[in-house]
Parts: sequence; C-alpha cells; structure tokens
Amino acid sequence: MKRREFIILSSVGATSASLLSACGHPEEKLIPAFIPDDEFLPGIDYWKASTCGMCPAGCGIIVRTREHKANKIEGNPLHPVNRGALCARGQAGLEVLYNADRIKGPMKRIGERGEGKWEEISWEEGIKTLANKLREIDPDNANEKALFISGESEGVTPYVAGRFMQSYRQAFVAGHPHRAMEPPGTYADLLSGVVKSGEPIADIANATYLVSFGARFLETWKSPVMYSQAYGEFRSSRGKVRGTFIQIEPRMSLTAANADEWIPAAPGAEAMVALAMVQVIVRENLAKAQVSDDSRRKLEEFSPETTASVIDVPLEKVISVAREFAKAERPLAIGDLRSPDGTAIHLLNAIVENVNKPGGVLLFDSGDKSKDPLPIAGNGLILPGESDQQLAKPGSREIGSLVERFVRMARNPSRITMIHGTNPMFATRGREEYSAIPFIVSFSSFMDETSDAADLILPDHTYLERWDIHSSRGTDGRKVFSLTQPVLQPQLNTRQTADVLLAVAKEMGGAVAGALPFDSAKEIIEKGISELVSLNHGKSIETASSEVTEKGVVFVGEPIQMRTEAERKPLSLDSFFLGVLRQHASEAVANAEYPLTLVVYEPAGFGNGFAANLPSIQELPDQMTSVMWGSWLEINPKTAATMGIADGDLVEVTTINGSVRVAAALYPGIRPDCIAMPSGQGHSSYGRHARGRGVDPTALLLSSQDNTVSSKLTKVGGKAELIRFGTDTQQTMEDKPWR
Amino acid sequence: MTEEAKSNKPQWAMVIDLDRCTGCEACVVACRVENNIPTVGPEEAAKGRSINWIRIERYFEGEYPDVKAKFMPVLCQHCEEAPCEPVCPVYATYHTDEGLNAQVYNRCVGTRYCANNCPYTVRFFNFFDPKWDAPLEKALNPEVSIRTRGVMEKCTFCIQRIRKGEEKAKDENRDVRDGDVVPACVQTCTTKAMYFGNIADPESEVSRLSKSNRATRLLEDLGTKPKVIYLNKGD
Repeated sequence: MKRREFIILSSVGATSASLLSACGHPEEKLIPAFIPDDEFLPGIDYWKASTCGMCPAGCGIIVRTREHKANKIEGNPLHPVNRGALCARGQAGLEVLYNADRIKGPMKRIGERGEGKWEEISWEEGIKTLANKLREIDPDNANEKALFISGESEGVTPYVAGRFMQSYRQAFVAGHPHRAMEPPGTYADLLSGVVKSGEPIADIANATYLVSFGARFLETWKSPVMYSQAYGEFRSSRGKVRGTFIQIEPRMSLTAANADEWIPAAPGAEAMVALAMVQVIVRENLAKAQVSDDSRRKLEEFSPETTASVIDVPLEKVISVAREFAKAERPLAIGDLRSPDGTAIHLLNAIVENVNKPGGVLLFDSGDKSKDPLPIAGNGLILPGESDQQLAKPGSREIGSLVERFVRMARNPSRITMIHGTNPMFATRGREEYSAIPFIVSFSSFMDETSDAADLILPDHTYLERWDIHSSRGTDGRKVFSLTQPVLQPQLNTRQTADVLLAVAKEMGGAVAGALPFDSAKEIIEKGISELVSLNHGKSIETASSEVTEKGVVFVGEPIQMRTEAERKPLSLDSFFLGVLRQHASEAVANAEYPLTLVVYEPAGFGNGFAANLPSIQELPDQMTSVMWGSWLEINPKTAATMGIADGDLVEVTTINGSVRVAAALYPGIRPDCIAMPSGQGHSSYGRHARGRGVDPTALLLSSQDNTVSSKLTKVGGKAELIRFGTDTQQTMEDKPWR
Repeated sequence: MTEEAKSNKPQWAMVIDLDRCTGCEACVVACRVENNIPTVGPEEAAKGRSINWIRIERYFEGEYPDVKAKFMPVLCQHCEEAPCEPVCPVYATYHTDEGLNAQVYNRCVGTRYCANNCPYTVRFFNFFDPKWDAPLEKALNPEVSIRTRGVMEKCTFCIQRIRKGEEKAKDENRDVRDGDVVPACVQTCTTKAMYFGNIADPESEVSRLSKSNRATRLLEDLGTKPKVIYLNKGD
C-alpha cells in the first residue's frame, strides 16, 4: 500500500471497511466521494429526459438523478402534451422503479399453478424455454396457436412482438389498458371531406361554453394533464372571457365538481339530453348549420317535453342550457359516451358549426400509420386463418375488449399465451379461460394476478430503465414523438421484453429471426429516431439525434388547419341512428328487484388498478370523499337515511353477477337512485400495498364495456374499514369550528 | 408589512388561483416525493397520523340536486404573525428574514404546542421514525433532511429550492429573478393554478396577482397575515 492510499483510507476511518466490502457490488459502492467516474460528479443533479409510462398519454418527463439514484420526476417543459406539468400518478413513478415488490429476475413455476412456488432461472434458460415451447407449435396447424397480448398499443414491444407473431403465423393482440379514455371519433363519417381519417381534439382552452356529457376529461382522458392545462386556460386566460362549464352525469365526478353546474340526469340518458338540446336549438332557429325539414320532423320525438321522464331533469334546465349553448361565442360539447350515444354529441357540435374552429372540435388527419417509426403489424390484431375483415372493424382499442373479441372469434384456445403490459387476470370475467391455457408467460415487472397464474416469468424493465418511442399530439394537433430512454442502469436482473423477444427469435431462427434483424431495442429506437430527425432539414443526423436525446421530443407535421367558410356544407341528420339511441335509453330503466343503479368509475389515481401497488397513491386521499387505503360505496344521504345506513356502515352491493361488501360513504353528489364505487382496488396479489385492499366492483358489471348495472343494497353487520384523511370529519365549511 | 421594512431580502409568497385548481392532488404527491415525506400505512393513517404538507380541502355546499363542491389546497401559510412561533419553548419554529416560517428539526423537542396553535392544521408530528420499504429509500431527495420520531414538520416552501435559486443568482452575480425559485407543488400544477415568488418585488407575478380583486387570505380575520394568497372563483 502506498503512503498516500494509506492516509486516505485511515482518514476515512470506519467508512473504509464498507468501501472495501462493497467491491463485489458495483451498484452499492461508496465510490462517488473518492473516485469520481466519468459518468457523474457527486452532489450534482443530472436531469434526463424521457417519457412517462404511468398511462398511455405519454407526457414528457425529466428525471433528477444523483449518484446513480433517481430522486424526482418532473414534467418536461418542452413537451407539448404536458408542458412541464405532471399528474399525481406520474409524480409517484419512482415508487414503480424502487418498488419493494418488483420481480428480481426470470423465474419458472415449480409448484402447482397459483401455489406461488418459483425457481430463479438464468435469462439463457428462460429464453431457451420460451423458444422451445414456441417450436412445439406447428404454424401450419390451425388447431394450435400461440397468442401474444400487449397492453401497449404502440412502441417497441408491440412492434417487435407483432412482427414476431406475424412471421411465425400466430396470433397477436395489442391495445391500450384504459377503459375510461375519450372514445374514438366517428366524426369522419359526419364530416367527410374535412379530413381523410379524423380523430378529434376538444379545444377546451379556447371554448367559452362547455357542455360535458359524463366526460371526465380532468381525470381519465388522454392526457388528463393536457386537458387540465386546457381547463386552466378555459377558466382564466388573458384576453378571453371566463368559460362556463356544465357537466351532465348521474354522479358528481371530480370533473363535475369543477363545473359551474352539475346536472344529474338519469344514468344512460346523457344522449337523450344532447338530442333534446339539439331539438330546442333547431325549433328555436338557433342552429348555425342548415337542417332539412325531414330532419326537423325526425327530431320531434326527442324534444325535451317528450323525453322528460327518461332524462329526469327539470325541463326548463335543459331548454336554458340549450339556448345558452347555441348563443355562446364558442360552444363545445364533449362526452365519454360509447357508440351509438356518442353520435348525439357529434350532432350537437355539428349543429353549432364548431368543427375546426377555435374552441371547437379540432379534427386532425391521423395520417398514414405505416409511416410511423414503429408500425404495428396488423394494426394491433393478427388472427391467422380467421377472417381479417372481421378484425378490421373499428371499435374500442382497449385491450380488455380486444382480448374478449379475440376469444370470441378464435375457434381454438391458444396453447401458449404471452402477456405484456396488462394484467388480464385482474378485473376480468374471463379468468377461467386464462386458467385453461396450458402455458402462460408473464412479462410483468410485478407479481400481479397474471404472474401468479403464469408458468414462466420473464420480467420487463420499468419504464425508467428501457428504450422506446411514444407518439402523441399536442393541443394544436401537431404530432410529437417522444423518446423513452433509461435514466439509470437496470436495478434488478430484468430485461426489456423487446430484447427478450429478439433473443428468442435468434434462438428459433428461420422466418422469425429473418423478420427481426436487430440486436436490441436500443438499436431499433436509435434507427427510428434517426429516421425521424432526417425529416427535419438543415441539421446533420448526429446533431439532431443528440438534440432528441437531450430534449426528449421531436416534432413532426403541421398544426391543425382551421376550417374555412368554403368548407361549410349542409348537415344531414340521416346518418344518425336516432332510433337506436331511443331504444338504448329505454334499456337502462331499473327494475323492482334491483332498484339502484351502480355506477363503477375509474378513479384518476388508481386508474384500472395499475397504480394500486404504489403507497403514495394508496395514501392519497380521494378528492371527493377523502378516503385512503381502500374502497368505498358512495350513496346519497337521503337514500342512506331511508335504509338506515350511516357513514362508515358495512353494506352489501348485489347485482345478478354477484355481490361485494364495502363501507358506505355518504356522498351528496349522487342521484338518490344511484350508488357508485371506484375501481382499481381489490387485488388478490400485486404486492404488499395492493393485496387484499378494498374490493373490485368491475366483477359486478355485466360486461367489460359497461359502467353501470342494476343493483340492490343491504346493510349488513360486521366491521367496515373506512380510513379518511385527518381526524376531521366535518363535511362543509359551516361545520368548521372557526367559521 | 413590518417584515418587508426590516429586510431587503426577498419575501417569499404564494398565490393559488381557486378558479383554476381542480383538486387533482398532483401537488400532494410532488410534495411527498420532493420533501421525503413518508407514507405511514393504513393502520396509522386510520389514527390520523398520515402526513401531507399540502392537502386539498374539499367543501360541499348546498343539498342535492343543487350541490356544489369547492377545492382549496392548504399548506403552511407562512404567516407574518404566525401563531405557532411564540408558543415554541425552544425556538425551533421562528421567522426568517425572508418571511419564511422555519422549523429547526434538531431543536424541536416535540411539545406540539405549535400544532395546537396553528389555525390551519398544517403542522404534522412524527409519531415514529419514518421508514421506506427497501429499496424505496434510494428515491429520497439528498437535499432534504429526514425527520425523526418526536419532531414536528411542515411545508418549508421548498427551502432547498429557494437556496438553490439564490445560490445560482449569486454565482451569476445578480438578484434573484421571478421564476428562479419554483417549489415542487407549483412546478407540477396541472392547471397552472399556483404561483410563487418575491412579494416585495412589485414587478413579480405574485405581487401583481396579490392585488387582484379576487385576492383573499385564509382566515384573514385572525390577523395572522398569511403569505399564501388565494384568488376566488370568478372574473
């Protein structure tokens, strides 16, 4: 030992022991204070740009790292979707990265399925096992199938998995995991000629009068941050009047709580309210669009007087909202309604002619998807041997319903199912169907319900450790690609799923290997980025690429062109299925045995249950009820009083699909004939914070597409858990002792 | 405004526009992550021991069907006449010359007099040592000290960010400019409802907004002179 080293070591005293002992674990070494490596200086923050992976919106993020640790995530101010802001779930992202319940490496099942006995294996063994299993399937035999389910509808995983399954002539389904997102537009039919294949953006920021039919744009739309910022501008933006906001829905959501007026129309009657408004606008000659006499006659059966009993809202309220809407400078109607109800909202927008005008509905040309850097094979659905025509039908891109459609159409169940980025064994009634699959591979980073039932687990990196490209749109309709890049080294023995699939393809050889001539996901991303930046003229690819790495975003395309008067055309009501709507609304009537309508909603924090394993989200008080760490049932105090139910009592909710027991929370913002429950809790697995916490109400619904179901409620004995933030139970300002 | 007369240092203040705030609680989680605030778990939370330096108060007004909800983010108001300060027997809570209501953790002996005397209930007591399930401790912010058992804690207006902003300005040989200091809650606000800055600077955004006819302060009649200014709903 040199004298100099001796002095250094003896001066650090006790620290030297841990310094030396840590040599075998480079990730734990105390090195920063002694040997600054070329990667960082101790005590200096390094901000790395990437993309948030907590929901499909793809907000830009910057992550503060120091001494090989990430300690804060913030919004990327350069990203047009979130412009520097970030939601509560995005802020909790480090609890995904540093979650105590992450799967530490590849594992295979050794006990019975679901028994929880696992053996750690090497990545080589895991990749070989999967390759051998896939080789057992004969691609020419239609009775044998492998299926890949991707809960990401874009990016490198479905890109690689889609090509993989396509070249092996096997099945593939890719969709996003969010049920409650804004519905895809059918505006294109309505306004053919404006754009070729349109998708809408609601220009809330510039609207002056906003009517929302159950649209929870502040909570569940893609992206809630983008729409929250738009809402801020809608309320107070310099040089613009303060916007007026009306929300029509049976339960006061967080979004409705921010409205100037909440109109509790009967559940399922939102479309009827919209049509009644259209009728009022037409009969009082307030319509800006031309309406034929035939259409006028057709509309008469939807007048507010005719539908008053279905809507169950005072007549004069509907009429006054319709008048204000039609007379407003920039009216805008939005909704979360599924087809065919959504058509009624399109009609309301069309009749005031707000399409592609500031504050209206902005349609952008979604363009040619095949020009994306990572085109998804089969547009996210491949079912070899079956009719591709059937698959091409437009519909929800939500993964649960896609898989349900797939299962219906596939004549034979798959022998091997690979599942990435989604947890279908939670909140799905098809649990038995999954259990019947002979071999399940889970790529989850966590021991969730799907991993529990799996035979092989090949854990993916978290979004802060992997490579990807995400495309999104700003409020001006400009397309932006944002880069997901590792903000630090992988924390555990996990591997990016795209890399695993590339390795499996190499192992299998043949057509599969030929279709995926890449070494790594990183290579695919770098190639994609250089293709993207080559579109930007005037800069070398190297300069432009390093700029993307630094800034995290690349803009492509032009902002939406506002509509000119020349493009105005007369409106025909014939394309609207009004009769269908009528029938649809009458179906929602409750019966005597199940008198209450149960509304199941996705809360902003938990989403579809994905964030239930994060302690910060569990301990985040619900905005409306202040409840933490559990589930609850919202009930109108009047209904509760008639049934003898007090706040915190244990109740049983029953539908024809089953029943759950949960604590009642008295809630003044709900119709007396409705009750409501949040989804996302009730995990049987998924780590220490999620397991056994609360109940899952989605099992009570009749189909995964529904949000409401007829139900009955009984008060039962037993202890209910209802944890509220603080010890303060006062509900109103007047109850505060100092007021 | 006695403080301003005494000091030529910045006087930090916050403005919250209640017309923009949607109660989304992004600020609550941002604050937790930035300031190393532990989660306490369901058992302790049920005893009212969860810690939120900033919280969203929700008030219902009226009865169904004419019911309205209002949201109000509540954090330490950094009162100029702070009721928590004179009751501390060990001078752990005191007023800085930058108008901040500061808490010295290693002076605090946990009498909780300050929390009793705070009309805003924004002071939180550590009933036990904080703990993070490994490896979550890696996400701790190295610039914020961890509070141990028996110590009061509360919002600091992100003092670490204030210091950073001031040091940067000093390095560049200039005064602190508006926008140099952005606390974690203000940074993440999804509707841009929150503003932070030097209220002694007449040019700053918070100064301008504090003169709005919508401006009000929480429990103003108590004479605490809060440094958090709320803007009411409306034009």
